[in-house]
Amino acid sequence: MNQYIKRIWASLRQDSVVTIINILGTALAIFLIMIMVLMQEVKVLPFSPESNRDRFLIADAFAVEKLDKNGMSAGGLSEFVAKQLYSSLKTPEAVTLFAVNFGTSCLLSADNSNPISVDQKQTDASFWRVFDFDFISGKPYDQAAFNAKQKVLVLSEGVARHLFHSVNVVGRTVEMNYTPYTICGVVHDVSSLASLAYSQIWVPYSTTNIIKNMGGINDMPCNGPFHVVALARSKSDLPKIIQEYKKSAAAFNSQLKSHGMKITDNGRPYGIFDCSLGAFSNQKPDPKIFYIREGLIFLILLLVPAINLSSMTQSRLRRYITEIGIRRAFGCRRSRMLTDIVTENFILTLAAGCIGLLFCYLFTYFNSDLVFANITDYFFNSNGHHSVNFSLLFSPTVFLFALLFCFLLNLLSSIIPAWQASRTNIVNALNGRTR
Amino acid sequence: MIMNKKLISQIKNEWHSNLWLIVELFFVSVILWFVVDYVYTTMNTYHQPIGFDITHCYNIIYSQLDPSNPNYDPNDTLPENDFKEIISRLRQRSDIEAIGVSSASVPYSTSYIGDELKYDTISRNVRTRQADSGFIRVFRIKGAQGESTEQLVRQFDKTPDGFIVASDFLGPNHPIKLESLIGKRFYFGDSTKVDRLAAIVGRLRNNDYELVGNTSSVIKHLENGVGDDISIRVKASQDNDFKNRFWIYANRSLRVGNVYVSDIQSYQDMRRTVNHPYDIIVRDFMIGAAFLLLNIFLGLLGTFWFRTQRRKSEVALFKALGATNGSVFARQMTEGLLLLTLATIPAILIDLNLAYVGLNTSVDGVTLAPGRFIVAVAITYVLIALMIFFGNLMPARKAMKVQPAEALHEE
Amino acid sequence: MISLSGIDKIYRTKEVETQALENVNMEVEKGEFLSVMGPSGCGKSTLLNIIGLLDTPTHGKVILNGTVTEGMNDRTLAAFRNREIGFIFQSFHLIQSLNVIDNVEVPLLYRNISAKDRRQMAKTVLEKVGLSHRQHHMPSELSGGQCQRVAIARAIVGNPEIILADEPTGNLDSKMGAEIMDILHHLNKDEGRTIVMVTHNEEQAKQTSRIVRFFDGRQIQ
Repeated sequence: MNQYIKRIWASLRQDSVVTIINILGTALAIFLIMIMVLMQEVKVLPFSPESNRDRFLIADAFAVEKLDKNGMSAGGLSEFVAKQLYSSLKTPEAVTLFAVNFGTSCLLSADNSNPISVDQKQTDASFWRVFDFDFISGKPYDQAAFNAKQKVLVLSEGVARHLFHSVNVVGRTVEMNYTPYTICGVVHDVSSLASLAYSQIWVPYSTTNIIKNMGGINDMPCNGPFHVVALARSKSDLPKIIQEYKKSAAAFNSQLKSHGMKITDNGRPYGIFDCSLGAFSNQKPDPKIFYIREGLIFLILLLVPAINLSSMTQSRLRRYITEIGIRRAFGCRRSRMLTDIVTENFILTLAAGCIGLLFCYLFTYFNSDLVFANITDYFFNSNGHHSVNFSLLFSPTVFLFALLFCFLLNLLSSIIPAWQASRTNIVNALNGRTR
Repeated sequence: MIMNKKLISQIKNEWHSNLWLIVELFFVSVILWFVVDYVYTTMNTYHQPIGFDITHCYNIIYSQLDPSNPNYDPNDTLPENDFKEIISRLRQRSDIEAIGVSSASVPYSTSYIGDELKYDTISRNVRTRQADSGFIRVFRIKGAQGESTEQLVRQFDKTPDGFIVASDFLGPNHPIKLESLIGKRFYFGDSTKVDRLAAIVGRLRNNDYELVGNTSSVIKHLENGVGDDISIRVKASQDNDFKNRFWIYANRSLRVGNVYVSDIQSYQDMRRTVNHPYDIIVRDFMIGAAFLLLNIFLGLLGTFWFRTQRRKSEVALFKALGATNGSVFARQMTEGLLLLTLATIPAILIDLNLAYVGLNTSVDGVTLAPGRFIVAVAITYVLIALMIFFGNLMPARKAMKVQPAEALHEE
Repeated sequence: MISLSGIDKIYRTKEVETQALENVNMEVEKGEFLSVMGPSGCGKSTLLNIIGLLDTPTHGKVILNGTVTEGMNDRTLAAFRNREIGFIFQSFHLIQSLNVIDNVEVPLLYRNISAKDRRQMAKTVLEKVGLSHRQHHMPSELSGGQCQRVAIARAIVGNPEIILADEPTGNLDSKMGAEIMDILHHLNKDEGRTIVMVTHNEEQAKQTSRIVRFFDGRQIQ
């Protein structure tokens, strides 16, 4: 270990420019790679209020087709369909139904002041059991309140402060689209990266005029604005729930048959990973294409810097070819020399990788809306709430990825020069010749 | 020239480290071409007109109170009249130049109604927009044969059973000229109602990235004057802080019965939002290109720096023989460009193959077009050559500092 | 101890073929102190490199301590270099980025010895060459004679039977050269190591047990 550090230090002093370029190139590659890793991981790693992501089964769309293939309907779920498919399930800990307002805004005002535009989610009462929100004051609406169509809502901290300059606002009234509601709870701001749970206000959908069952075909109201998320008690329950769902779906299908339709099976509901692949409502997500595309991009991100670093490593090795000759003359095996060179390079790569990772964290933290733009910009008003929390950045998965890519990059870039150097004829090496 | 011959033999001697460079330049060349091709074609598409002029235009969103609202008026059974009242109030504002009512018609939105349009034996899928003539005025849509907006409006108003179609309905190579079908009878879907072609307009796109599909646009007359969208064009001189002023006005005066205006958006904002996911992709590609170029820069910097160190005595000799600093730099540049050219030749072959097989960006089904291919290859070459130039600056400066006597002495 | 039979070494380039050694047959007994002499370019260093297993002959056999080295794989060769042979070079060939004691430890890195033992063995051997007070200095801070003494320490730290010295005093003045020769004689006479030394210096050669002379790649005496 000592020996490696000494050699790296000597490298830095003697060939400072080339070694620094080496470090910069590696840091840049790791920086970009880790940003890509984060972009994908943010969709699957757990963080509040979606801390149970690995136990979710998500149905964000539903499609039916005519038996004669002459028509189809696809989109979100209607309340009718959601109840048909999910209300009989016994294995999940909780199942929630909620609607997302994409593209339309909701007006909120306090004491008849000028209304502000906010993002709104209309949910059932189980919503609060599936997602782990952090309540600053008050509590969520329960099943009784939902059934009684009580006009209550939950507010996010930022909105509360904007309207009332305080978070102790439980019991006060706001006008939502000119209709008065009572605040029953205030939660910590939710990052729009938690796209399932995110909103700025949450209301029971029994209290709004949301159209629960919209289109469909042949007068079967199959589509609507809803998404369904089922929370399993443990990961091992997930296949069980899917089995239960399939039975439910089969029963519904036979009902549909008499109307000349059937469910288009796209594998829904999905676990969190499949959901992150983002398939359209009438498609199945294809992990293969995802892996190929991502694999290709990572390959390019690794290969091009590796070629760069390889030639620079080769140049650096020429510097101390004499030392290599000396060590070999005193009994160092070729294989040992090879591993020594690769290991020494790995330390350098790791150091540079840390720098790259650090920059990645800083960049992501301060520019999260840039990095995660494909997630956050579906919400009109989320301005500012794309915060990435630390549990995401510092998750062990992310570190492991960084380590893996450092290792791969190092291997790719140093294996050929190391192999060449270790095979050099000893006499030539001692004389500073590299052939 | 002695220098040139020696240059080539020197490249051959150093072929080992040159090989790395050539391999890297080759890889980057191919990948960069792909990226340049994508960005170039996408930017081309982006800068084509979408058929709508959205400057100073706003989208007004309205809603209805629901029965549980304390202000709900159960006696208001005709919300259509409330809607029309709101429109007429808007017409009285002096800062609004034009008002258009439409459904599934405005640009930069996601609503879409598809249908089949038939004439004789021709049948095509179209996107059906329903709008009043105010809509045409708001977005200053022009005719494909040079008609001004007003002429188009008159044509549209003259034919109550008429509709407008976009010029890409038949495709560029169709034997029948679309203009010859004006006034003729068309049918929509399974309907038996006759519709006459009133006018032709330029292609209408929904966002700046949309390519020609086989769905052309059609504008039909709006039925009974009520639509999902209200679009307005504000007079240019009055379009400052318009949203805030309008908001205050809307709160006061644009609530009729159970219908109220709930939001106003500028089309510029809508444009930004709808374009955004595509913008991101272009941005990501450009970041990838910058990354590749930066790598080339760093790699060249490192390699040439190292070489300058090793060639110190040779450089000193050249200088002692009378070579100038400029020629030293020129020599290194030549070496770099020679390597680049060597790498580009096989790269172009690969590029051709990729384009031929259709693995690059498809623009309306075309992946290999001579003009576009040459431009993309040229831009790629120039970009990498620039990196070679910059990567050479520092090592060349270092070489220039070499004092002949000093370097030869070290030898 | 060392047996060479039918050794040829031919260097081939694209245009030219050079024969550095031609049909060399030689025996070195255990405990001998052999000098190899001859004009520059006559193949002396090449001979030493071949004996030291740093290079392979084009034809012929090298037998060290009863073991035939022909066809040995890299692992066995490396083990041999590590345990049986200690090399001393004319230009010292110390690793500039390591200090004296780290330099001496180098051969021990390739054996299964704990760091503590390594240190101890290196210290012992530095005392023998009289440099224990300079343990932590860098090679650039030492004189030529001191550098060569470090090189000797490195060559013997692993207790090899055979020491090969390529013009060990070539870069030193006569006083330092004499000190080095003293150490070498001590290693040979008192510790019984077999030494083969390439030298230009007749005086020094006369003090060794046997001299062989080379000219143009062939042994002439």
